[in-house]
Amino acid sequence: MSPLGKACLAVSLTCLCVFGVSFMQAPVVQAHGEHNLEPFIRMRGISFFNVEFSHERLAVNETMTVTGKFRAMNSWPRMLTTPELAWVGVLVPGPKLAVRERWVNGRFIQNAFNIELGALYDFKMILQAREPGRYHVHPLINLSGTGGLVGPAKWITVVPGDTPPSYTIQIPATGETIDLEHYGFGRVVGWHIAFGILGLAWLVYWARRPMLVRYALLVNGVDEEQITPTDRRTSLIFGVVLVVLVIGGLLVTNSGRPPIIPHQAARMWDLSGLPIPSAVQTEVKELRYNTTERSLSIQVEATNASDQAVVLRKFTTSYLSFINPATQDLYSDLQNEIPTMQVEPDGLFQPGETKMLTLTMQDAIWETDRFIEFDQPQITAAGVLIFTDAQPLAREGLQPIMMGNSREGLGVPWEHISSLNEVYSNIQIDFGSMGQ
Amino acid sequence: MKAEELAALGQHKMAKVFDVILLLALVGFFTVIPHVSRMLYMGDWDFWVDWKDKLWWPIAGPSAALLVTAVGHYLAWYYLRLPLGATFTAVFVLVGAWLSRIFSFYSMEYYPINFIWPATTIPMALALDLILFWSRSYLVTSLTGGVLWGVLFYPVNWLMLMPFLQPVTLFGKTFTIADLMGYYFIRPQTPEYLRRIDEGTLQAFLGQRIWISILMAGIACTFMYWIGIGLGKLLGIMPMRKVLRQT
Amino acid sequence: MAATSISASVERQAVQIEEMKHDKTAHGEMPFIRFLVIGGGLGLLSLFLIRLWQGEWWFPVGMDATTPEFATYWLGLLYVEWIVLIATAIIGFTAYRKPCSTCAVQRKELGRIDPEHELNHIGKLWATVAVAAMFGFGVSYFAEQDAVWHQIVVRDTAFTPSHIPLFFYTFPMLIIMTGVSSWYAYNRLHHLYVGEGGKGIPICYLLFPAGGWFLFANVAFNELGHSSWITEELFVQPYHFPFAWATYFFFAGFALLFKTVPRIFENLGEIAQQASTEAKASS
Repeated sequence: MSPLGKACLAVSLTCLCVFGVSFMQAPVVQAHGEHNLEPFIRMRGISFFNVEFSHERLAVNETMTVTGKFRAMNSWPRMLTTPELAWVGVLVPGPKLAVRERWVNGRFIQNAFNIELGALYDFKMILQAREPGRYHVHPLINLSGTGGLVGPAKWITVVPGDTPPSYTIQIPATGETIDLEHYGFGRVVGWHIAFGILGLAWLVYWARRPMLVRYALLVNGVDEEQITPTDRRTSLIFGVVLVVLVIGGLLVTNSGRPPIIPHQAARMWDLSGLPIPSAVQTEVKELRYNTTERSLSIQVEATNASDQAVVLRKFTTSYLSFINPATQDLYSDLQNEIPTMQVEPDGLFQPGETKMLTLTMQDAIWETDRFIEFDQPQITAAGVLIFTDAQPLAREGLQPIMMGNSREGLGVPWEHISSLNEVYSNIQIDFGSMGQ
Repeated sequence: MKAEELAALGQHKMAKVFDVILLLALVGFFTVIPHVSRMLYMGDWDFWVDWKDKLWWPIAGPSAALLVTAVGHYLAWYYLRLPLGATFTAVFVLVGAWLSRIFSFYSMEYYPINFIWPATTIPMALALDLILFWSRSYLVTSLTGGVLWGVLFYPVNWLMLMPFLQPVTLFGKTFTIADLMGYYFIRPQTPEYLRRIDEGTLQAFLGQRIWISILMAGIACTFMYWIGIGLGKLLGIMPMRKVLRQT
Repeated sequence: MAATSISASVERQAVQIEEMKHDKTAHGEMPFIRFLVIGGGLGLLSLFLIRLWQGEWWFPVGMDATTPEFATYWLGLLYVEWIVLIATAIIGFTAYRKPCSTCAVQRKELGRIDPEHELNHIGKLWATVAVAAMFGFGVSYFAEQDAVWHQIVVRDTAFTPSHIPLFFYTFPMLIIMTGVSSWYAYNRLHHLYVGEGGKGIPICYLLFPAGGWFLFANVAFNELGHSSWITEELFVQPYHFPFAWATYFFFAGFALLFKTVPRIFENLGEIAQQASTEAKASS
């Protein structure tokens, strides 16, 4: 072999070795890159509340429920298209879990539905496991003109079941029960094979003869003479077979044809938002981010306009949540791994009371998950303050909800939520001692 | 050299080797070029059965598919006097498409094959080759074969699509089976509202909208045939003669 | 002194030619087939290995570009690809950087190039085009894979597991291989395109590699589009179209090839004639 050839082989073998060695490493499992959408879209796009997953582990063909609420924020980044249509689903690595049902505000969703900024929606999805594996499952709201915004995810393990995945449904017109997993497969493959054989036969007929010499002959003035009477006769046979196959196929398919309809594209334009709990009125004074402490602080003037005492329970944005530890007295629910915020002054909020609240949330996640990023033309932050009534609940009265991405904790049921208040402002950056 | 001697050289071992290399080059390039065109001009309609509607797919599908097929058809006839170019392109574009559907769509993300099958153009391609072979005229081929290409696309693929158009009901809503597959086998980043399908038109012609699409496709394909031939001439033949003179 | 050294060099080259002929008869008549088999084989093997790699690593570590695992496994693959690309480019362009010395000697000594020798050059040109075509398969496969990979991730980087083989391996490899085809034609077979002693650049030399170049160039537009206009995966959106337009330049490869076809048969005719003359003489 020439030196050149040896060099080529050496490079290839080196690459093969690098490949081979790397295959032996232990696998890790990752999320979806959910923190890669621009921060302002995530924080000012959709906020998720009380997202619940009914299962953590299920077998193929078993179903689980994902429920929750979401709100299209008023602080929507207006340089993006204002969304008109939305679609609800889950972000999973392919249809490893199939979505059997989608419900928004108690209505069954067939296609996309209209969405209004500021409105609150309740969703429910029934998922059916299809393929064993461990998946990071996010609720996903797709907005026309913007794309998919994800809520907090949970790791779901699907284990093999007793039966292969199956999605049966009855066709009313024929009474036939079909399985969507395989329906029509034989017909599709059959026709592809039939036409494929016909095409290949035509190719083989022509391509088995010397080919390039035909061009040399053509250049030398031998043109139509290259085609023989046998070629003409063969072409007629192919023509007849083609016509018989297509027309015959159409006649047969049409003769036993069940009733058919076009794809259904009706979208839901009359979906109105749910009433938004609004016991408290707030006015944002200042958002400040300290780069050395990695803490976001929010100063907000809040007035309890209701006739009941409330308490500031949580700040939530995108898939993050920060709990007010003072609510521990009421709910005794806090677990170590759930991020908390400092609230000054904390405590109960009496009817008619106005307070200047300062919330401080110190967490590296602001930067690791790119919520606060300085390489942005708009350095903003947004989120929702959640106030709950001050009624104490035992642990049994709480329910497991997502408290952040892949992070579950006990949450206050929706009926105890008194107010959702949106917070949005430009951020003042406190660079602290960065320069020192 | 006499024609007979030249023709005899076609049987030379070396000439056969060159034929094989030509076939390899043709297989490679006539998989990638038509396949990339197909996936980018008619991709989503081709990928998902719930996109295969009766308004846009019958027009976008054949027009997109014909463009490069016509180039193959023209170059094979121009260079080799072989009426196989269109069929060759149609066969190998499907090889490319099926490889991707099986080894990406199915084996990677587990979309069921019956949800992601590609449309076939082989019958129309064969018709195009046959018509050129019989007529020896690009004009006649464009006016008959081109029209047939557009007109036959929907019926031929309807042979496979038909069962997926049967209505089923779920929670009081009517779906086609194809819609329901799109509903179940979720596409997180191609949500429903991106579907470019018939959402309802002014519905002239007593609801027989599909025939308007089919007729339009036939006419569009007549033009597309010539665009393909122009492309073949411009990029497949003309560069053989043109030389930029150095100054 | 100078005259002696020139004649010695010519003599040495004449011996080389004889040796080469001897070598050819010993190892078969068509060394370009070896090039085709090794080149095409390695090309397809690399695509196959990348697909195996994807199958192993896309779900565990391929979905989040900000993690260290992504950098190890996916950017690692990217760097390996770049090494292969750079090596291929260096080997391809330096191997054929000068016109063939054997051809030069034959021209000088015989007044023409030996038909068998020239056929081998033509064969190698064809082999480079066929090897490039194998990478076409890669583009065909990985491009459509892109449509389905981006279904399931929040698009976060230009270096996604489907872009790494597509944009940063098969596209540049097509530029390199088609470029090597043109480069080879320019340095070995230029006389077939512009005539003996002719000058100028046939545009098929330029248009054929332009296909890969435009494919690669549109990556920039594609990334701009996805970062600015739509984050979702709508494959039929117009800013994808230039990828399709770019592939049309590969048609120029057939112009590059067919220009040599008449000469293939002239040479074959001469070889056949020589063989029959030799046969007659020996009988």
